[in-house]
Amino acid sequence: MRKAAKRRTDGGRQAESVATRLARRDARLPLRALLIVLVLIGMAGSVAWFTSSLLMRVEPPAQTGEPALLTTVPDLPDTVGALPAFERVVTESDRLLRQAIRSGASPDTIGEMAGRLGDLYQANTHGELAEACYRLATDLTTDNPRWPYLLGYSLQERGEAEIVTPLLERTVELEPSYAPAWLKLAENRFKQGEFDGARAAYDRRLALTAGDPWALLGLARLAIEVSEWSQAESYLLDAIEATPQFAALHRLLATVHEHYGQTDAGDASRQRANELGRFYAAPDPWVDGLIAQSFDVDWLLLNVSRYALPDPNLSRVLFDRARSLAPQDPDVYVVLHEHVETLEEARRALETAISLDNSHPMAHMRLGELLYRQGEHDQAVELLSRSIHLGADTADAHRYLGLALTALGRLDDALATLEQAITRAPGDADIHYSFAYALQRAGRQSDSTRELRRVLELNPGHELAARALAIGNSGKER
Amino acid sequence: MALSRPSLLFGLAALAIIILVPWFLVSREADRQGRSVSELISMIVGLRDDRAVSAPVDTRAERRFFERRPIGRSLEGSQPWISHVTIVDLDQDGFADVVLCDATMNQVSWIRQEADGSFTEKLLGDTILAPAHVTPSDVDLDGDIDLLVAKMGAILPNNDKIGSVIVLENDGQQEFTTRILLDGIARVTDIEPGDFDGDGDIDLVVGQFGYDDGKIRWMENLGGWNFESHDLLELSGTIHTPVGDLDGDGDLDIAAVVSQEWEEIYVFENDGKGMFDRHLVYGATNDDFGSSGISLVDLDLDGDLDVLYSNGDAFDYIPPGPRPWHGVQWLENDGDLGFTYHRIGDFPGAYFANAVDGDLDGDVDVFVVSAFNDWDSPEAASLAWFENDGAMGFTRRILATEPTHLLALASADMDGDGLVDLVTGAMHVSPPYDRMSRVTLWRNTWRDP
Repeated sequence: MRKAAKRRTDGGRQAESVATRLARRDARLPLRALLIVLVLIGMAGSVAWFTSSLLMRVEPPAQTGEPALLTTVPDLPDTVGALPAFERVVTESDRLLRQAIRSGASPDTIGEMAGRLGDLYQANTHGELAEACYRLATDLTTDNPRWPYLLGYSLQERGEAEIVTPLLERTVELEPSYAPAWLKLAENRFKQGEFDGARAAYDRRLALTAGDPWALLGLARLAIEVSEWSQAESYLLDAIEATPQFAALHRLLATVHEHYGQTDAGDASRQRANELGRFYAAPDPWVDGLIAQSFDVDWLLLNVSRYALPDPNLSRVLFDRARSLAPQDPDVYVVLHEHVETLEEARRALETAISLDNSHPMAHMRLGELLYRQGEHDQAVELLSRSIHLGADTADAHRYLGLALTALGRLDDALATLEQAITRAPGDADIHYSFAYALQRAGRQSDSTRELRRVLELNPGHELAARALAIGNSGKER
Repeated sequence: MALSRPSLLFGLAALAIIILVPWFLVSREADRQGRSVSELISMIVGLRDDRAVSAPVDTRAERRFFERRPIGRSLEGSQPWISHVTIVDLDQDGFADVVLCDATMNQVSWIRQEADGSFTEKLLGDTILAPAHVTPSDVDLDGDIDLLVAKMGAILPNNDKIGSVIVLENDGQQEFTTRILLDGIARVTDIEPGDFDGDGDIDLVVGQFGYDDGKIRWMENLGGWNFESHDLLELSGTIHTPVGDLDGDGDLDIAAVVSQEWEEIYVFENDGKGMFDRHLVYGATNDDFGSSGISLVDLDLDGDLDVLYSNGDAFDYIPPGPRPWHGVQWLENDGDLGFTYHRIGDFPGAYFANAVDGDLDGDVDVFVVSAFNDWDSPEAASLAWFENDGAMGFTRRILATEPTHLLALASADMDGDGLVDLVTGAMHVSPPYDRMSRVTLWRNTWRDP
């Protein structure tokens, strides 16, 4: 009974509840319908937005009626093997440029965008695409000197000369105070035999940067071309006084000394040039800064070495970028070891390189050399032997292996190894000195003395060899 | 469970939106672009990539029409440094041989071709440290072929005076005596023969790379193996000094490529009596251009000698690697020692080029080896040709990606079939060492398509 009554009671409540709900629903119907419509509109909007974004990925084909300028924008490069970040950046820049052209943006705006896309290509070793963009930028912008300059720069990288001259002339017309452009113009004219024009441009460079060694070097070369040797010497001496660390000046001065038959002075100048290292190009902010936009790790590392001497700060920036782009690349750490301040840091860098690639010959060789210097001779022998086996078959590898073997008392092996080093670099006085030291350790005094004399033939200023000869033995290894 | 009618209606409306809105937009865009809807959908979902992408010049109509095989000694675990190869019938038996400089073994070597097409290798003369270039020439005019050998003393950068001018004198039976004509000079990279003073004997032009103190000199033959040196230019970095009549006046002039920071090409104009006027005929203002070689050839078949010029040297930086501007170009001889620069094309690490008609179509094509490409990439090319379209337009085509590190190249019809074959030499100065070779014969198998 109670159950039946309860059911009835429940049924009554249910009937009441349904009726109430229906009544309430009727009251909320417009609100719900509105909500549904809004949801559907939102959904339609979302679908439309998503579809449009997909459609934007598809480049419309060139059609009659498309702006003719579009045909001058170079096609995107093949980015297989490139970092995805580069593909993203270059695709977006290309898209924006095309969009600007289609939307009828002003020539200056399009030119600037083309120029910046050119910068991206130039920084990422796509020289021909950079040229196309810079050409567009040069044609469209009338007052920005960067674009004709960078177009000329990109062309001259590939060996072009004649067509570069008017671009450089336009640059200096627009920006007469940009000294690198005057230098480039001078060099370009010189190499085409336009000596008067070259001289004028070198003079303008000098007026902007007093004592500039590149301009004076160029003027000296011009003087030599017309057989004014004393004038050349004068330019070079002036330049050396202002910039004594610039190897190219000493190298050309050696040529002048040779011309005058001053053999000793020539040798001294060459020796100085050799100590100072390679030629390096003059700073060029419009160009140098571009490399920092590169996504190409090999290119960045190469430029780390290239700029280490002339612009250490830029070199550091390029290195940091390379490391952030490719932290697992062993070459990054081989390059790093050359630029750190302490031996411990260098060791850690090389050990990291080897941990990333256990068959890296240069990493093994450098670490072996470093360990020899730190007195860890067993490990040095192991690493240097392995480096030679892996292909670092250089005079230095054999020399340091020979020195480490000497330190361990394995003198027969040491002598054979040092002979290998001498075969590879017979004119290296230091290697002969190492050989003399090993001979002396092996008790071959007369052979050691003969080698020490050879050291002094090769380098009369070799103090250790001179001292060893003076005291009748081959002294201690450095 | 049955759906309520409002829910059903809502679902149908949502479905219609999901289908119809994209359909409408895609149809409209397809119509605007002149494409079919299915074509556009394929492109959106990635089945077809129609973005404008530069076609890599390498892959178009690629034809690898050379069969390669190693000749001469085997690798024997070494990492060969072959610095030069040249093709000559050294024993004058009617079969082309190969003579090479091996800077690992420090010797000049002869790979002799037998009548059956097999090859055997024999070392010639004494040890010569880092021989860089060998030129066949009957220097003593006794009817056999002697060898002029440029001794660098060390291949890698070195400032010592360790170069020599050497002749390997042939006794007529291909036994060679080493004659040192000049010793203790900056590293020598090329020696070329020619009668520069018109007295009937063979003089020499010597290119010295050096490092800080290179030089170009010609050596006047005084007879009895005595020579007198005359300096032509004192700049470091000379690589090649080919000889030819560049101004068409009947005597031999000298061309020279000077690398290092100069990156210039000179012509030394001969008055016929051994007096030379120097002309700077080309210079790159890219101090890292990487000049690597020149040769003289009538590339445009107009009757005068042009300069074929490669730039791809990368010995100087560590790690060694290609530069984006490496490639090949030619300097068109305009007469009166005027030359016009023409870029043939990019080729990373381009080290030496030969100009020959490789496809028998009557024009001159350009074959190039690469020593410093990005060898970590399996797609990096070591041998390519630039096909001439007959109007001096060139298209680059890859011939090989291995072996790698090809530095030396010579060309001639090695097997007498009328087609120009190639011989390459490899210099493995840097890793990787997984696709090595020493000397390779590339037999031309061209047939018209």
